Amino acid sequence: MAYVFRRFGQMLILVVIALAAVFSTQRLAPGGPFDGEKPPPPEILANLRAYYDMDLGMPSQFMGYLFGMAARDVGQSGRPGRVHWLTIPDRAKVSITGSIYDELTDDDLLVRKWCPWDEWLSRWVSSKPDQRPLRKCGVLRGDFGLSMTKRNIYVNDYVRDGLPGTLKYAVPSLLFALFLGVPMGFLAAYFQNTRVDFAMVSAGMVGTIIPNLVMGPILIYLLAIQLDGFFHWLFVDYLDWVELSRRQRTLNLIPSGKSGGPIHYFLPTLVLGTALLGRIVRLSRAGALEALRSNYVRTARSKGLPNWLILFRHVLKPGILPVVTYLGPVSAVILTGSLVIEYTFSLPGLGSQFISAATDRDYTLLMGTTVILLVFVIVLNFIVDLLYTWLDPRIRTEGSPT
Amino acid sequence: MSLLRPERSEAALNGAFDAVKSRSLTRLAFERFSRNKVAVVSTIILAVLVLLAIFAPVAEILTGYTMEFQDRNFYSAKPPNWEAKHFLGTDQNGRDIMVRVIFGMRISMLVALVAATVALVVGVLYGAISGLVGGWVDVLMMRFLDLLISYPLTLIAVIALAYFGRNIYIVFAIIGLVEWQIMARVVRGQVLSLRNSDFIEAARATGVPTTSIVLHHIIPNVIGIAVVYLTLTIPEVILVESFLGFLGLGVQEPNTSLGVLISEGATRVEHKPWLVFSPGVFLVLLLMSLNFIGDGLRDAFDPKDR
Repeated sequence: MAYVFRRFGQMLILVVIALAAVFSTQRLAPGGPFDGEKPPPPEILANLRAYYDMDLGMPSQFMGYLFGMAARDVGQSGRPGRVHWLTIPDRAKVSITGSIYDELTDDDLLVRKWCPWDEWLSRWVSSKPDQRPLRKCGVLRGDFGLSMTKRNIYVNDYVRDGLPGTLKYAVPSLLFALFLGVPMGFLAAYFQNTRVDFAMVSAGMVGTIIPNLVMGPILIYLLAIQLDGFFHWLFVDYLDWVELSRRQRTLNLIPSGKSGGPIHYFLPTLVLGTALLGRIVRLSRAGALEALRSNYVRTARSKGLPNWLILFRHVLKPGILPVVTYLGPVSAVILTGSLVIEYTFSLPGLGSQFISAATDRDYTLLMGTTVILLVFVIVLNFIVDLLYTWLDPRIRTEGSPT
Repeated sequence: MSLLRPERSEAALNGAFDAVKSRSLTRLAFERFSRNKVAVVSTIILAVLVLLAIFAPVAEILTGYTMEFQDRNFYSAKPPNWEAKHFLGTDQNGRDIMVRVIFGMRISMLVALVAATVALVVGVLYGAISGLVGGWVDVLMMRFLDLLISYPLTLIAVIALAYFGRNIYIVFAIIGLVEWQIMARVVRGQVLSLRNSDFIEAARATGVPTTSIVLHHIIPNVIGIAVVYLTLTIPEVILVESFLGFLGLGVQEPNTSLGVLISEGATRVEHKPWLVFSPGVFLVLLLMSLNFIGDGLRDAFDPKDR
């Protein structure tokens, strides 16, 4: 347990370092979110920069981003402008947490009445929720701030809209790769150096060799267009079973819009899952081979245990150990893969928001998406560590792997 | 016997040593490699691809189309047409795809070579320092590497590329900085096992200075394994480059790369599949041959790892 908590602590420290790195590089890099085709007049620019605290020093900006910041009054500092976001005018609309999609003028001030996680946090820390109106609550209290390019939308709303779209395909593809890859690897190990072995390993290799940015278009072409056309000909023209117009699809494999049955999961899951499959097959094959060669399996065999029982009782746990260690780096593969499938299938998701935030230099949106993606990685790594301690008793006693 | 004819036996001994030496590392590895049919075929494929990339201008001369020439009669992506010498079709702007794919592959290979070299330098330095210094520095550096390996560095590369422009040199550096961890780990392992080996012990015992040990004993022994892992890093680097190009963050317009070409075709695969197929096939061939060659080399140099 202590080991797991230490790992978790290390990951948290690394996240803070990574956030600081991203935060400082994006602010030190040339260019900014407000210089586009038509930069705003200098007074407004100054006000905008002040509103997002970009006129402060880097450390206080970062602290403000992490821990929040009350309203600052910089309207008097000799930089008059049309926008007075920093002083709180009486007519300002004070919005509660949630989506701010209604029309806002430049005079409106977005102030959170309470921070997104305050109720939740106060229950944990057992204190009264802070009722001061904060302009920024800080990431630690669940506020990612206002987007910099679309200045009336909170990043929290972007995340809430985008995250399900990413997880929707990431989780099934991971499960697909695990539940297909591990049995394939075990089969390959059990029939080592036979045709079965060769077939399993090379089937897994296909996904590794064809990168998912090529796999996506190829599968669309083969399954969603050619196979679909064949079924269209078979069911509609030849057998006359289904009534469809010429342009309608029979299988409807390409995910589009929000309406979509489970069939829409098929192609993205396949594209993401096959990228992981080869590695998982190889690792589980290696793990199972090592377990099969071990003395305790020989003992079990000589005891007369049936093969399936040996596989489940003695080979399964040590056999999937290498796969479990691979699950940590897998999170990075899934993330990059989900960027690719979001582009290929034009799906909405965090990945596309991440890319557009990076190219538009939307600092707050980029920080928000980065935080979420890193948390995804951390959670997966944490689960891996838990699994590992459960699978490998040596860690529990020694407190450290290797 | 030996007392009677010392020079002859010495010569025989030297000859025996020569024979053993000439068959020792590289030769044996080469023999093992050439017995691996997949690796040999991959080498041939890679050689063809590299020749294509080096002599890319020949494709321009043969077809008569330059990379940027927009054929007025073939606007908006026409399928392959052999009479007009558009052997793989044209793209949205009427440019010949075959010429563009070959030039794109050239850029991809260039990026791969330079970025892999960056990765090699960084990884070897990191691993060598970690292994040579040892102690708490080693622990700290390896812990950092552990954390970094399960970390989406490609995302950081996306941010960095979006911010620091798409200059090709920046692409080189950033992609190189994504893919150096495995190299560092391998080099550190090799350095550690060398440090504890007998001949280093002997060198140290006879009073050879440390710099000389590093220069004459450690570096030559690390280079082999570093080169093997370099061939395994190159496909990774090509993959990262094509991924970034796919997302529109790779090399910029007058230049093109396989990833950029694939991303141009990926969304139009429904009606114009040839846009994505030709760069896709070239990318897959390149990655496949490099992967198999790397695996073959690793098996050849390090047979106990199989």
